[in-house]
Amino acid sequence: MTTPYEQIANLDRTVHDPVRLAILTALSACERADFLFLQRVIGLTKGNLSSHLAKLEEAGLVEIEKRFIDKKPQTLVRLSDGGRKAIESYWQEIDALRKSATAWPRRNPQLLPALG
Amino acid sequence: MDTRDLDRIRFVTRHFKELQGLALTFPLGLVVLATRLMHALSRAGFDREASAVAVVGVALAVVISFAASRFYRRRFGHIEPRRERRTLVESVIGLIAILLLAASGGFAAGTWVVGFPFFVGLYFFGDWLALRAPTLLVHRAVAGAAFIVLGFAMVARALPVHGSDANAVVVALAGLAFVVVGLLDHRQLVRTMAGLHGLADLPAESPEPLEQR
Repeated sequence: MTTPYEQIANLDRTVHDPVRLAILTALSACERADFLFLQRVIGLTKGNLSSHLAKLEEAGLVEIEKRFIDKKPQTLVRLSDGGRKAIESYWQEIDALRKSATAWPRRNPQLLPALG
Repeated sequence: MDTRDLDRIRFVTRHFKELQGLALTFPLGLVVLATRLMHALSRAGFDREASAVAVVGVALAVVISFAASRFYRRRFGHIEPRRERRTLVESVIGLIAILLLAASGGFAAGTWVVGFPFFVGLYFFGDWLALRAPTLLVHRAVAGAAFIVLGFAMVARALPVHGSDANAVVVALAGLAFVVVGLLDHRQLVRTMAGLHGLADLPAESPEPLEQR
C-alpha cells in the first residue's frame, strides 16, 4: 500500500505545477481561450505564460492555434482530449490523496512523532 | 496559489460573458428606464420630449454596449464557452423557469395579454444570448429574475398607488435593478481579474514569447 508521500511523488509534475494547473483549470472551464485572457485571469507575464504553454503543448495537453483578425495576431489555446483526461484524473488523484492522508495517521499511530 | 484561486479562475472563465455587465445588463436597464420616462412624459403631454428621451436612451444604450464589448475584448481577451448539451432535467427546469417568469411578468404588467408574451420573449432573447453558456445556470438566472419581478410587483401593489401608476413603479424598479446588477457584475469581473498577481513573479522558463514564435 502506498503512503501519501509516495502518492504525492507520483503526481504528474506537468499538471501539478501551480501555474500549469491554473492554465489547465481555466481551459477546462471553456472551449478555448485566447492568450490575453489566460494572461489576465492567471496574472502572468507574457514570457512566463508562453513558456508554460510551450511545455503543455509539448506534453500534448493543449493545442495552440494562431490566426489573424484585422491583421492582428491572435493565439487561441484549447485543451486536447489528453489534457482533459489528465486534469480530470489529476483531481481524482488529489481527492484520493486527501482521503488517504486523513486516514493515514489513524492507521499508523506509531509513526507519528510525539507531540508535546 | 490555493484552491480558492483555482475556483476563482474556474468561475470567471465559466461566467465570463455573463459578468460583462456593461455590455448587456446595464444598457438593457437604460432602455427600460428610458421607456418608463418616455411614457411618463407622454402622459404629461410632453410628446416631443418623450420621443427625444426614447431615441437618446436607446442610442446611449447601443453605444455603451458596443464600447463595453470592445473594452472587455481588448482588456481581458476572448473565450469560447463550452458547449453543453441540454439534459431532460435541464429542459424541465427551463420550462418551469419560462412559466414562472411569464407568470411574474403577467402579474407585474397587470395584464396577461401584454405581460405573458413579453416575458416569454425576454426569456428566449436571454437564452439566445447565452446560447453557449451552461444552460442550467441560465435557467437558474431566469427563475431568479422571475422572483425579482414578482417581488417588485408585490412591492408596487403594496404602495398607495393603483393601476398604471403601480405598473410604472414596477418597470422603473426593474430598470434600476438591471442598471445596478450590470454595474455590480462589471465590478466583480474587474476586481476578480485583478485579484491574482503572485504568479506573475514566478520565473519564466523560456525567454521566447509564444506570440512571437
